[in-house]
Amino acid sequence: MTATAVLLRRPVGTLAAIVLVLLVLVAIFAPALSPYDPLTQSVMQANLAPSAAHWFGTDQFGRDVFSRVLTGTRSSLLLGTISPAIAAIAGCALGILGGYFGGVTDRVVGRAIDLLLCFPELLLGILVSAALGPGFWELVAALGLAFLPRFARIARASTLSVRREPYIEASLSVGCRHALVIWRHVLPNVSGPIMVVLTLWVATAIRLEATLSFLGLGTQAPAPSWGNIIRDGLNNLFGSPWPIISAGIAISVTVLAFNLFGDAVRDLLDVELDE
Amino acid sequence: MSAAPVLSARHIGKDFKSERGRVVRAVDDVSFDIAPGETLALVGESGCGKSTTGRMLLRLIEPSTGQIFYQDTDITTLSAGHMRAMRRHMQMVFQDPMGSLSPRRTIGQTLTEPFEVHGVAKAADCRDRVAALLHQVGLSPEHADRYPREFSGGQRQRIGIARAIALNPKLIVADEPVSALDVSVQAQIVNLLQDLQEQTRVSYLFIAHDLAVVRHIADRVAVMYLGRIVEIGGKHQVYNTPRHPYTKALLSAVLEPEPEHTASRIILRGDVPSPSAVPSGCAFHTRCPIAEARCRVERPELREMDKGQEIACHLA
Amino acid sequence: MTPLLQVRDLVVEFRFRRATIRAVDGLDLDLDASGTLGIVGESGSGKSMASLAIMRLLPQPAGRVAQGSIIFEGRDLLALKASAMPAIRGRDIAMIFQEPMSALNPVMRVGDQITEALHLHERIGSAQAHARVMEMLELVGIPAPAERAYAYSHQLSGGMRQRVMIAMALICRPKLLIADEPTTALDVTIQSQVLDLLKRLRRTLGTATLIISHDMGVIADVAERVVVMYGGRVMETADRATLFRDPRHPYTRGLLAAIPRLRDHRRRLHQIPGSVRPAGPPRPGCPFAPRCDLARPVCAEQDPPRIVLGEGHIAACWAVAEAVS
Repeated sequence: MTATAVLLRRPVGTLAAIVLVLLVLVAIFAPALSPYDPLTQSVMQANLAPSAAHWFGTDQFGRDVFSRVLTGTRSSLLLGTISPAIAAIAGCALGILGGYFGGVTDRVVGRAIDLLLCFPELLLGILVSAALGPGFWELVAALGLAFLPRFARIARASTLSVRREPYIEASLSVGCRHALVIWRHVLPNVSGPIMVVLTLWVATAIRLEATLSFLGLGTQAPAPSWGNIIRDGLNNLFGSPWPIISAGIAISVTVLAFNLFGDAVRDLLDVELDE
Repeated sequence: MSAAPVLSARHIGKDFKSERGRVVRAVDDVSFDIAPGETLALVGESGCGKSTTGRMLLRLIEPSTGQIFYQDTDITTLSAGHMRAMRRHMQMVFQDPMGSLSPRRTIGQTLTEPFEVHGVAKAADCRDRVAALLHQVGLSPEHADRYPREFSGGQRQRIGIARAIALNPKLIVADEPVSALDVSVQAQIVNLLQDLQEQTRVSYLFIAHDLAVVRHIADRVAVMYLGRIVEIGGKHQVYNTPRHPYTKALLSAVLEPEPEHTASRIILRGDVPSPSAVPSGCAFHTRCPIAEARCRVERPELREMDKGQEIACHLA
Repeated sequence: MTPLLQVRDLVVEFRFRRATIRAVDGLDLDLDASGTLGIVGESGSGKSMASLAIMRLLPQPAGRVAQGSIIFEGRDLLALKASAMPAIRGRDIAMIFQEPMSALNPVMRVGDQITEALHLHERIGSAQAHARVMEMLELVGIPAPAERAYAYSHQLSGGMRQRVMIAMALICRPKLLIADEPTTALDVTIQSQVLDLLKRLRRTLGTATLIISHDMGVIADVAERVVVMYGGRVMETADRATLFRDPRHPYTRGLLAAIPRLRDHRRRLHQIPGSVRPAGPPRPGCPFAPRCDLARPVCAEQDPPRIVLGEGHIAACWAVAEAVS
C-alpha cells in the first residue's frame, strides 16, 4: 500500500498527524514564532481582550497569552513524549523479560506491575513529585514510573503469545541466543501494540502535565506551561478568561490529535495483520 | 549396530511441575542409541512423552535426569554457550510448517540464520548457500525473497527441512513432520527426507503417531506409552512380530484403505490415563487385554526377547 | 425406495468484496436411509462446506448456495424458510464435529446439554428425559453414565467428549447423522473405539451416516459408498470395494498409491507432484489437471465428462473417457 493510499483511506488519522507535526514545529520554533517575550510583564497592558496586537489577549501581568501558549507547547510536548517514551522502553524491557523467561522472573515482574497499577497515575505523580520536589524533570520521572506498568503489561502479554510460536523454538534449535531471538522475533511482534498504546498515553501525559502543573507540581512559574497558564488564569478569571480558554483549547486539540492518531495506527496495524 | 552411535540417551527423564505444584513425570528412564545414517522412530499416542524426549535430545527442554551423549560428549553437562555450538550437529524439523517459520522474515532470512549464528558463512556467500539449500529441497532460488504465507504447507515443510540441513547436522529430530500435511503431499516429504538421508548419511529421530509412515521410513522403532519405552526393536521385528500387547493394539488400530482389512482389530478399552496419574505397576495394565494381578503392582523393565528387540512386559 | 438424501449439482460460493470463491462445484450425493456415505478429500476439497450446506449452516454472510438442490425426505431443504431449519437440525439431521471440546459448552454439565437437545425437539417430562439421556449415554459406551452426566466437558477425555457429542447428536433419533472428521483429533486407539461405536450405532439405530474425512483408512473402515472430492469437484464415486480395489480416476489412484501401507515393501512412495490448490474463483477444466500425470490440453480447458464405469461407479476424467471409448 502506498503512502498516498494510506492518507486517502484514513483522512482523520492523516489530519491528526498533520496537527501533531505542526505542534512539534511550534514547540521547536516557539521563540521565533512568539511576537512577545512570554515572561515580560507590563502592568499597563494587563487583562486585554484579543486584538491584532495580542491575538489571545494578555494576562493579569500584561504578558502576551499567545506567546505564553506557544512557549508552553514545549514543556507539554516534551513531558508528554519523554515520560511515556521512558515508560515504554523500561516497561517493554521488563514485560519482555518476564513474558519470555517466565518462572521467577515473570512472577517478580508481575507483582511489580500489579503493585504499581494499584496507584492511579495522578496519585503516583503527586507522590513522586512530593518526594522529589516539584519541577519539570521530577514530573517526567513521576509520570514515567506511573505509566511503566501499562507498557510492561502489554509487552508481557504480547511476548507470552509470541513465545509459544514454534518459530521461536525453531530459532533456538538452530543455535540462536535468547538475546537474538528476543531482538529479532519477539520485539517486532511487541512493538506494534506498544506503538498504539504509546500515542494514547502521550495524550494522557499531556493532560496530566496540565493537571499537575495546575496543582503547582509541574513546570514552575514564571516559565509557562499549559497547566500553569490555566492555574494563573483561574486566579484571575474575572480579570480575563482568555488565558484559560487559549490553553484549554491547546490541550484539547493536542490530546484529541494524539488519540485520533493512535486509533489510525491501530487500524493500520490491524490491516497489516489481516493481510 | 556396528558403528559407534551418533547419539545415545541414557535413562533420561523429565519432570514437569503442574500448576498445583504436583510433579508430573512426562518421560521416565528412556534409553536408546541412534547409529549414523539410521532412522529411529518414536511412536505413541498423545501424552506419551515422545515430543518431550525429542526436544530433550537438543536440550530445548532440559532433562531432569539421565545423560545424553553426542558421539562421546555428554551434552547434558555442557554450558548454554557450548550447547548452542553443539546445535550445529543436531537440528530439528517441526510439525507445524506454518508456525515454525517467522511470518515477518523472508525465506532467505530464515535460512541464513543458521549460518549467521554459527559464523560459518560470510554474508556474501549466504545467498549462494541459501540457493543451494532451496535447490536441495526441491524449491527454486527465487523463493528466497518471498514470505512464508506465499507457500503451501508442503513447500513450507521443505523450507523447514532446508533450515535443518543447512549446517550438515549428524542428527535431525523430526517431530511429526508430515502429520499436518495433506495426504497427497505427505509422500513428497517422506521421499525428500529419505533422499537427504541417502545423500548425507544424517540420522533421524522420527517422532510420529502414524505407524504406516513409520513402517516406511524407520530402521528401528521405539514404542512409548505414558513416558516409557514399552517396546523397541528393528522395524521388521516390531511390525512382523510385535510382542508387547500395546504394540499389537497400536498396529491393529492402523486403518488402511483396504476394505477387507477390518476383521481382527484389537480395540483397547478405556482412555490413555493422564500423565499426571500414571497407573501403578505396568502403566498399561488399565487397558491391557491380558493383564494379571502382578501387572498392577510390579513394573516390568525392558528385557531382550530377541536380538535387538526389547519389551517391557511380564507376560510376553 | 426414494433416497433419504439426494444432493444434485450443489454449488457453494463465498462472495467477498474482491472475489468469489467456489468451494463446492457440482456435487451430487445419494444416501439411502440407513446407508453410509463417505466423502473423502484433502484441504480445500469442499467436503466440509458441502456438509455445512446440507445443514444450511454456511458461514455468513459470505457463504451461500449458488445452485443446486438438497432433497431430504422429498423436500428441498434449500427451498425452506431459514426459520424452518432449526426444527430439522438435531431432530432429523444431526452433526458431530472434529473438535468435541469446542462444540461443548464448558460451563454446562454434559448431561444437561444432552437433555437440552432433547427438550428442544420433544415435549417430554423431566423424569422421562433423564431416562432417555442415561440410556443414550449407556449406548455410546460411557461407563458409569449416572456419574458422568454431572461432569463438565473439561473433566472428560477426548474420546469421552466425542462419545458425549455422539449421544447429543443421536438423542432425538435423527434420520441422518453427519460426522465431519469425527476421529481426526483423537489418538489411534481411541479412533478405533469411536469408529467401532459409529458402526455399531448405525446397526442398532439404523441412522444413515454421512462421514467426512481426509483419511482414506477411516472412509474404508466405515463407508459403504465413497465420494472422492478434490478442488470442490467430485473426482470419483463408487462403492467401497470398487473404489479401493479398482480406482479409475488418476487422483484416486495417485492418492491411494501415495499412502504408505503396513504390508508394503516399496522403497519409495508414489508421489503426486505439486501442492493442493486452495479454493478459488470458478474455473473451467479439471482442478487436478496441474498435478496429473495423464493431463492433456483439454483437461485445463473443459470440464471432464462423467464416465459411468459400472453400477454406481462414476469418474470425471478426460483420460478415463478416452480409455473407455
